[in-house]
Amino acid sequence: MRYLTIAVLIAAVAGFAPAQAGPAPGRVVVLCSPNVEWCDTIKAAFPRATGIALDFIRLSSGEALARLRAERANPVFDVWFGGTGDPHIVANEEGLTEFYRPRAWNDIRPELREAVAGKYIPLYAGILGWAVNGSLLREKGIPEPRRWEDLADPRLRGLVAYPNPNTSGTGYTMLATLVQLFGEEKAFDLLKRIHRNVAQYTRGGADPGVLTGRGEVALGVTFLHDAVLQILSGFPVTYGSARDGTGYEIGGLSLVKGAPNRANGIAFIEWALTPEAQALAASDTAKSYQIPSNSKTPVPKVAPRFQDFVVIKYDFLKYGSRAVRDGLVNRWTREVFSLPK
Amino acid sequence: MAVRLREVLHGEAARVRLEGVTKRFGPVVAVDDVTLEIAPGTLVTLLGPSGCGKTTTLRIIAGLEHPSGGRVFIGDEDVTPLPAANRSVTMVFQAYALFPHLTVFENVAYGLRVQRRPEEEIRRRVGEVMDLVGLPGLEQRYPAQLSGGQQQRVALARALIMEPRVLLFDEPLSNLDAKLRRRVRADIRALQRQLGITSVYVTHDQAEALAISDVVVVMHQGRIEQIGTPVDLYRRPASRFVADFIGEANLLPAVVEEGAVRVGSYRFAYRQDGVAPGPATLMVRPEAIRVLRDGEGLPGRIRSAFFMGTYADYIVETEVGEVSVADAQSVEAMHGVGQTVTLQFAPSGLYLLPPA
Amino acid sequence: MSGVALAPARPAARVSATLVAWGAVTCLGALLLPWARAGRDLVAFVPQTTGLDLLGRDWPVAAAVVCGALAGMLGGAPLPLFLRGRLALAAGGLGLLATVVSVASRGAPMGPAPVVGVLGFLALVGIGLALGGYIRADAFISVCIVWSAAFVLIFILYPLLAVLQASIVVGGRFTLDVVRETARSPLFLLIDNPNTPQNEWHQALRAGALLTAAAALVALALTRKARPTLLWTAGTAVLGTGLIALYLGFGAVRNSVLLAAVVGVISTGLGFLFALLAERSRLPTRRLFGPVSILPIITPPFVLGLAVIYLFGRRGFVTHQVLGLSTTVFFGPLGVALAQVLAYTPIAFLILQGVVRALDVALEEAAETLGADRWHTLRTVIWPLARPGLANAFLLVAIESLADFGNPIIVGGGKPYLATEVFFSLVGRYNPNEAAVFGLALLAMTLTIFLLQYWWIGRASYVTVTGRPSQGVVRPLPPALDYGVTAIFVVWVLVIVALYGSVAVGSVTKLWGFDYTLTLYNWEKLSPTGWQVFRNTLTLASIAAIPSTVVGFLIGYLVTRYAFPGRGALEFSSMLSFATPGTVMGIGYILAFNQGPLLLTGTELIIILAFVFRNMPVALRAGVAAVLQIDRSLEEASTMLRAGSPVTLRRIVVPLVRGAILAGLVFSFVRAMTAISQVIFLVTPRTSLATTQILSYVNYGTVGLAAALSWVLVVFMSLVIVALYLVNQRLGGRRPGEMPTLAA
Repeated sequence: MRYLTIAVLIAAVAGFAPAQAGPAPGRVVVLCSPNVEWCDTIKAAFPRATGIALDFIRLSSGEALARLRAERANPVFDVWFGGTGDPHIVANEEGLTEFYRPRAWNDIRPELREAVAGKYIPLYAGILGWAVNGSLLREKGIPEPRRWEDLADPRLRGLVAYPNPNTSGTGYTMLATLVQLFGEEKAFDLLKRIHRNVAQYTRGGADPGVLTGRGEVALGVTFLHDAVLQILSGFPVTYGSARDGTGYEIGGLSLVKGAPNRANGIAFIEWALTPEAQALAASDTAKSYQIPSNSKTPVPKVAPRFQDFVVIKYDFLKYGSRAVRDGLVNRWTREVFSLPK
Repeated sequence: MAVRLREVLHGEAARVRLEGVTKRFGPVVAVDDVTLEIAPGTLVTLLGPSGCGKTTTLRIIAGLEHPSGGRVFIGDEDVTPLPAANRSVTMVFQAYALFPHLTVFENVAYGLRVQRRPEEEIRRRVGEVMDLVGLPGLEQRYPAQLSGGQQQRVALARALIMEPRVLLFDEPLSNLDAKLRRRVRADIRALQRQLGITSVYVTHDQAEALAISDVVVVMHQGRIEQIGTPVDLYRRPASRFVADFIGEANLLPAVVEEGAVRVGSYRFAYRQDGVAPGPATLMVRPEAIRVLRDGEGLPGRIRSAFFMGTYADYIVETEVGEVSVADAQSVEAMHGVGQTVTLQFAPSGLYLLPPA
Repeated sequence: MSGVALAPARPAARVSATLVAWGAVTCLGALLLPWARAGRDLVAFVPQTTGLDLLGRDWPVAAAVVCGALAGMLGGAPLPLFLRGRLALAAGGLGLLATVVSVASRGAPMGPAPVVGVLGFLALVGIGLALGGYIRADAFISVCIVWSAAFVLIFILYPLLAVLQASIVVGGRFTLDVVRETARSPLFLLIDNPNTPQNEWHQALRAGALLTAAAALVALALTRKARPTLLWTAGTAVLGTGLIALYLGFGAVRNSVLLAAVVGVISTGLGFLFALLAERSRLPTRRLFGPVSILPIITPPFVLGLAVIYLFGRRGFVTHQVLGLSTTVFFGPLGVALAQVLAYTPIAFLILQGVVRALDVALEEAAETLGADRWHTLRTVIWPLARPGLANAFLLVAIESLADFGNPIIVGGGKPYLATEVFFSLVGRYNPNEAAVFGLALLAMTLTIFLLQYWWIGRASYVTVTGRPSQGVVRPLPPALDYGVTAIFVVWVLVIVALYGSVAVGSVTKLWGFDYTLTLYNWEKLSPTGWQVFRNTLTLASIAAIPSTVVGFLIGYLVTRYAFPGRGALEFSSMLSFATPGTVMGIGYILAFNQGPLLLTGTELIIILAFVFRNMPVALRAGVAAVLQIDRSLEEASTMLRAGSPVTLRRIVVPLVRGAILAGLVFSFVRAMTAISQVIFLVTPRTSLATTQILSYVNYGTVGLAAALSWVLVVFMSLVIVALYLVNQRLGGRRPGEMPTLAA
C-alpha cells in the first residue's frame, strides 16, 4: 500500500503538472481561420510588435463558430481572426462575440464597413470565382467557362469541384450568390444541373483550388485569392469568375465575448488593422492575396480587384442570418447533394 | 541431528482445527461441513478421488480459498478472516510452482526477502535449508536446469525456510515417476518426523497415504468418510467407499448369525463387536482368501488366473458374485481357468461393514 | 498494505497503517488543497477555496474532512477487523458522497482537493471492502478494483452516456426531434429519393426478388434439401435486398455499411489466402509477412489516402502517367475501400494464421482417414473449423472500416460517411445534438458487431498470434496454388512499396503530377511548426503510454485472477473503448468534459486521458493473454511465502510478462502517435498533434508537407518497432508479431 500512496502522490503532482501556463499576462489566443501560413506569420510578427505572445489554432470559419459555441461557458480564445463573414455575423447575433470599434475604424474601406453594419470588423475582402486548370480543359476541348450556366456544360462531367455549403463559407457564398442572382428556384435548378458535373464537394473553401491545381478537376469554385495561391505555388492554374455576376466575402475580425485575455485581444485587433500588419498577408510567408480592409494598406499586386469583375450587391445581413442560411443549406442537402449523378 | 534441525527451524508445531467448514462454488458443494482436528507435529493426509474436496480443504487451511461457512483455527487462533500471507502456513505445490525467472537461491530466499531480512541472515538460512533438503551447491541454477526430484526439494526448502507452523503439501509427488516417488516420500516423511512440523498432505494415491501418514482422512463428495491410522482404515473401513478405495476389497452379501457369518452356503466362525445379527456386507481382502481344490468354503469356478510373481491373481465366480483373490500359497501350483474350487477366508482380512 | 499491518497474528487491536495513511491523505488533501479552479487552467485556483477556508461555510467539505479524519483514526481503533472494514467502507462512502455533493453544488471546475478526495475515499472504500470481507482480496487489489471501476466509469462510460443524452435531450428537455430529423436527413440515409423519377425501393425489391430466386435455385441444386435451401433463400432475400437498396440509396449509412461489407469480405479473403501462404508456402516470399503485417499499425491515418491520391488520382502516377487515364473514380468510396483493404488485410491475416494452423491438422486427418471426396471434406471438416476465424476476421475488419476516419476524410470524395459526419455535424454544422445522433448510430453498429464477435467467438479472440510456423511437418500448398497466391502477394507487396514510396517521393517532389523536380522545400518547411508539433505529439504519446499500459495491464490482471462483483462488467466496459469509434468517443469527451466540475477540454490532460483510455485495451489484451499463460500457483506460492499482492505483482508477475508489458507499452505509444479520430475534437493551440497537422496540411493543398510529416512518423515508428523487436529478442521474449490482435 506504500506504493499505492506514492503512486497517488505522483499522479496528483503529474496530473497538474502540464498546466504550468496560467493566464499569463503576455498572451493572446487566436482562433485563426485564414490559411496556416498567414496564421504562422502573425504568430511570429505580433510578439515582435507588442511583446505579447500569440497562440493560435487554425479552424475554418464554420468549425471556428462551432468551437466558440461549444466553449461558450468557458471561452479559450480571445480573438477570432479571419474567415468568411456569415459565421462572424451569427456569432455576433448569438452573443459569442462582441463588436469592438477599433481606432482604425475610419480607415476601413467604407463599402466593407457599411455592408457588415457593425456586426464585426472587416479584415479583408475576397471575390468568389473559380480556379481553372487550362491544360485539362484543353485536353477535353472545352472552352473556359464565362457564366455560371457554363458550369452545367455536360462536357464538364466529373470535372467540377465546389465546397459543400454545409461546412464551407465559400460554398455558402456561392449558394447565396446564385440565389441572389437568379432567385431561389432557378438557382436550385442550375445547381442540380451542375451537380452532374461535380466530382467532389469539398469540406473547405480552398480545397477546390487545390484539386484544380493538382489536376483532379478542371474547375474549382473558390475565392480568387485562394486560386492566386495555387498559381503562385506553380500549379498550372488560372482564375476567372462569372460575368453574369459574382459574390464576395468580407473576412471578419471579432473579439470573443468573455475573452480570458481581453486587453491583449484588443491590442491584437488594433495591431491587425494597421497597414503594416495587413501588408504581411501578401508576404512570401503568409501567401494571402485578399484585398486588405484598411484603405491605407497597399493592395497586393497579384490580388484580384473589384473593378476587374462583375460583383453583385451581396446582402450580408440577410444571407448571414441563421434562418436563411439554414433554410438554403438544408434545401441544398436534400435536393442537390443527395441526387445521384 | 534432530537437535541441530530444531536449531535451524524455530517454527512451533501447531494444532489445526476445522469446524464445520463448507465451501460452495455456485451450486456445487465442494466441501460439506468438515470438522477435523490435527494434532501438533503429526502428518495428516487428506485422501480421496479427484473432486472429493481434499484440495479445496487444503486451500482453505492455506487461506487461498475462503470457506462459505465454518471456521479454521491454527493453534488457538481463529484464522478464518486472515489472508494466506498472515497464517504462518506454507505450501508445497503440485507442480512445485518454482519461480522460473529466479535462481534456486532466490527462490528459497524469496520469503525472507519479502520480510526484508538482512542479507547475511538470508545467506545463512538458505545455506542451512539447502543442506537440510540435501541440495547444497545448486543455488545458482535456474529451476529449469534441475531434475524433477531436485525441483521438489527446492520447493520443500522454500516452504521450510519460512519456519511455518503448518506445512501443506498438495499432491507433491504426482509429477515424479513411480520409483522416485517412493524415495522422495520417504525423505519427506523422515524430514517431517525430525522437524516435528504439523503437516497436511493431499493425495489421491492410497498407497502414498498409507505409507506416509500418521492419520489419514478419507474424503468423498465433500465429506469426511473416515479418519484413522493407516492400519485402522485398512482393517476396519467405516464404509463400503473406504473399503473399496483403500486397497482392494471384495464386498460380499452376508448374513450375521450368533458367533458366525454366512456367505452363500459358506458359514464360518467370526465375531465382531457391535454387529447385530441379520443381513450385512462383508469386506474380504483378496490376500485373505485361500483357494483350495475342495473342502469347506465358498464354492466357485476360476474365471481368470494370472501369475504375479509373489502371488497368484484369480477372479473366481461364486454364487454371490465374482471374487478377486490374491493367493500367495498357490503360486507354485496354479489353478487353471475353469477349475472348480472352494474359497476360505482368513479372519484377519475380514470386516463387517455397517449397513449403508 | 494491510498485509504488513497485520503481519504477526492477532486480528484486532493492531494498527492498520493503510487506513491511517489514506485517512490522513484524504483529510489533509481536503483541508489544505483548493477545491475549485478558476477556469480551464489546471493550476489556476479560485482563491479562498481550501478546505480551511470553506470549513465553516460549506458543510459537505466539512463532512468530507471529518470522514477522512475518522477513517484515519479507525486504523488505530481497537476493533475487530471486519468491523473496521465496515466502518471504513461507511466513512469512505459518506466522504465520497460529501465530496461529490460539494463539487456538484459549486459547479466550478474541480481543484486538486476533490481529486485527492475522490481517489482517497475510493481507496478507503476499497480497503473497507477488503477488510470487511466483501471482496476476497487484500486491500491493494481491492483498491485497484475500485479505482479501475471508477476510471472506466468516468472516462469510458460517462462520455458515451453524454452522447446518448445529447441525442435525446436538447436544451434540458427530452425530445426525439433531433433523432427524427437526423434519421430523415439525406446525409444519414435516403433510399427513395423524391427528386429522382424512379422509386429506389421498388427497384431494390425487384432486383432482390430476382437474386433470391437465383439463390433458391442454386441452393436447391447444390444441397437438394429443404432446410438449407430455405435458409439460404431467406438469407439472400433479406441481406441481398437490403444491400441492393443501400446501393441505390444515399447517405452516410449507405456508404459506411457498403464499405464495411466490401472491405470486410475482400480483406478476409486476402487475409485467408495470405495466411495459407505464410503457413504453408515453400517460397521465400513468406519471410515478408512479418514486416508487412506490422505496417498498418505504425502507419499514420492519412498515409494510404495520400498515396492513393498520388498513385490513382486524376493526375496519379499509375492512372495518368502510366495508364494515361483521366479518372476520379478513386475519389470516393472506391478509393477509401482501396486504402482500407490495404490497411486491414494484415489484421485479418494475423487472425487467420491461427485458423490455418488448426486446419493443417484437420486436413491431414481428413486426408489420411477417408480419402473422402473434396467437397465433403470442405463442408464437414474445413468449413466448420474455418468459420469462426473467418467470421472473427470479417467482423473486426468491419468494425475498423466503420470507425475509420482518416481515409474517408482524405479520399472520401466529399461523400458522407458515419465517422466523418459525426465530425462535420459538430465542427461544420455546429450541431452537437446531430453529431450525437450520428455517433449513436455508428456506435450501435460497431457495438452490435462487437457483441456478436464477443459472444460468438468470445475469449477465443484473445488468441496470441505467434507468427511462428507450427511445429511438426507442414503440408506445403499444391504448387499451382502456391505460385498463384504468391503472385497475388507479390503484387500486394509491390503496391505497398509503391504507396509508401510515393509518399516519400511526394515529400521531395516539387509538384506531384506536373513537375517531378526534386526539392527539399517541404522538409525545410517542416520547421518550425511541423517539428514542434511532432515533438509535442511525441511528448503526449509517451506520457500517455505509461498509465495506459499500467491501467490496462492491471485491469487485465484483475479480471483474469480475481473474482469480484462486476468483474464481467469491468472487462466489458474496458473493451468497449475499443469497439467505440474514435469520433464517437471524441464527441463524448467534448460533451462530457466541457463544462462543470469535470471541465478538462482545452488542456493537454484531456488528450492524455483520451490516449490512455483509448489504448488501454491494447495492454489489457496483452496482459490477459500473458497472465493466462502463467501458472496460477506461482502467485499462490508467493502469497504463501508472505508476499502481499503488490510484491507478488512486482516480483513474480511483472517479470514473467515483461515482454507483453513492453509490447503493450510500445503499441499504446504507437497508437497514440497515429491517433486522429478522437483527438481531432480535443486539440488546442498548444496541443496540436502530428496527425491533425497532417490533415490541415492536406486541406491547405500543401500535400508535400503532409507527405513529409507522414514520412517522419512512419520512419520514426518503424524504428520504435524495430527497437522493440530487438529488445524483446534480448529478453528472450515474444516478438512484436506475437501481439494479441483484435483490430490492433
